[in-house]
Amino acid sequence: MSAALDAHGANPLWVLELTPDATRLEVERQGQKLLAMLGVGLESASSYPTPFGDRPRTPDAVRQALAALRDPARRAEAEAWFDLPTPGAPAPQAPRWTDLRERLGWR
Amino acid sequence: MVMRVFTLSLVAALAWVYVGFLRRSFADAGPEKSGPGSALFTTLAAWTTLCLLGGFGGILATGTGVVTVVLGLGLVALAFMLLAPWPLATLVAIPNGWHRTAYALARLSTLRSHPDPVGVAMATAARALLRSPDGTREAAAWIEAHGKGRPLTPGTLLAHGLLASWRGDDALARRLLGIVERFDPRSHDDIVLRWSREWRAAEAAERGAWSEVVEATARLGPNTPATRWLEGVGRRYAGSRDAPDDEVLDARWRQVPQHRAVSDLHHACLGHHRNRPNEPKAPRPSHPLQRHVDALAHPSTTTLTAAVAAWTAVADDPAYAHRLGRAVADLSAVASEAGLPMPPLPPTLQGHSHTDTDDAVLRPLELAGQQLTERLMAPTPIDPLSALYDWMALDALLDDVRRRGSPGALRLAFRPAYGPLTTLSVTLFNDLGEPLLSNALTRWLLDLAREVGDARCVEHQTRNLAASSTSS
Repeated sequence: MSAALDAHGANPLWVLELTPDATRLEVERQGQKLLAMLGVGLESASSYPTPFGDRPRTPDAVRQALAALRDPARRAEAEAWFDLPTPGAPAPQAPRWTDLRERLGWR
Repeated sequence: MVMRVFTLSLVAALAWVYVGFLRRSFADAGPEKSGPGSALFTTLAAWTTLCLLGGFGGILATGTGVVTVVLGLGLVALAFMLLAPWPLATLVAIPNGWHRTAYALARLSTLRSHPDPVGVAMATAARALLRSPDGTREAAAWIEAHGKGRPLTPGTLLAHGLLASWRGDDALARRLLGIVERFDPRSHDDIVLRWSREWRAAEAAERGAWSEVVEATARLGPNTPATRWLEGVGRRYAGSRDAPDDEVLDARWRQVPQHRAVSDLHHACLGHHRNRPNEPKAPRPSHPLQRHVDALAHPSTTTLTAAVAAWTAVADDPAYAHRLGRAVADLSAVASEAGLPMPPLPPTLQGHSHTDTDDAVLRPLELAGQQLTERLMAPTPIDPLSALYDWMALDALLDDVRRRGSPGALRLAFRPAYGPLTTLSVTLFNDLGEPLLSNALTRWLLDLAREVGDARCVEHQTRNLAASSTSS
């Protein structure tokens, strides 16, 4: 794996297994939950999925992810690169309902 | 004979009372200051009068003379029309594209159009114009003319937005309808919010912008069945963790009045994978990102060339513009790491760094802010509608900074936009008699100050908001 891909793998949203629509409260709750799980050595918290395969999760990585998501600029960066796909996967497009306003009586 | 004269006199008296209600209603120059209780009283009184008129019409219609029967039937028809102007506006005038009739019927509706009677009537007429097969610029001007000389309200803003859409400017319509949400909730008529949210959701769905559909529909408050259904659809396509299951989505779809017309779209959505709760969302692949990640995972001349080509293809797409800086850096790094030559970058990607992009997005914003300041300082007072469009232009430029600028660019863009718009907000309130628009702009400024984390500006706008909310 290249260093650039490795750097993308540490996306704080992936580390905390959150989506870009997570609120500040959800971020804090998830971070504290994962730290508690890692503290008691739970196996399920020891790794997180990324499009490039599972990566180990450490308490330090969780703390760094929390700090990153508290900073609006770093959070924006994490959100921008959140939807990286799995290498080699097909590329479906979001559907466009091009005549919806007409169907709903707006035209 | 005496009985007939008595009946006709009674009918004339009742008609006179009803005309009094109408005169009172139509004389209102702006948003009503009276509470909902007053509107309910006026409506009940008007309905009682109309029921009596209709009853007399019915009695006359059972008479023997032709004139009496015709008069009676006419009275019954008139009473029926005046009793239910709103259903007639939405079920008859709008679908047929009769903008003048839609306006008149919406103005006759005493209960529906509280507290923004002219605005709701303008929006109803604008919606009818959207359905008109032969709408003209004169028709649009006729609708806009009803708002002249009145303070801008959520209803008039919705009307201006729908008219912008009718002219083909959906981007402006989107911005105007987005501002409707920022007005003081007490100045809203429910129908304005319902229509505004449904239009925004449907327009975003047409562009495939499903996260915008969720943003437009997920607010509390009045919503249409179509909005509630689109919220579920949007959550599914956006891959949200709390997307509704098939049963809930199906129930929402059945409540949409036009559910048969959107049946195929609904069933396509039902077939779409829904992320299970607590499961991290699967990353959504898209073309340049796919080529990018392929190049990073398996660097070769072929994958690097494909990635550069994919980024070049979307270099002008705002959805990808803010990723270009890091994309180019990633590909250069991986090429260097793998000992491969970096494919030649086309001019659109060359020198693509955050600094260049920041310069490109900040310069127009600074210029627009400066021009607004000069216009506010000029001796000629600024026109409220023109002020609204200035605000919309700065809003669009700030969005450009959010999309294309570096993560810190918004902080640099904050002052050039915040200063002139704060002055505009004060001018709207103090000098232009636009308390509602000023209040909406203050809410927008408060959100912007919160977004960049400027505590002093947050405090300033909070004070302004409290002052304008009390006075408006």
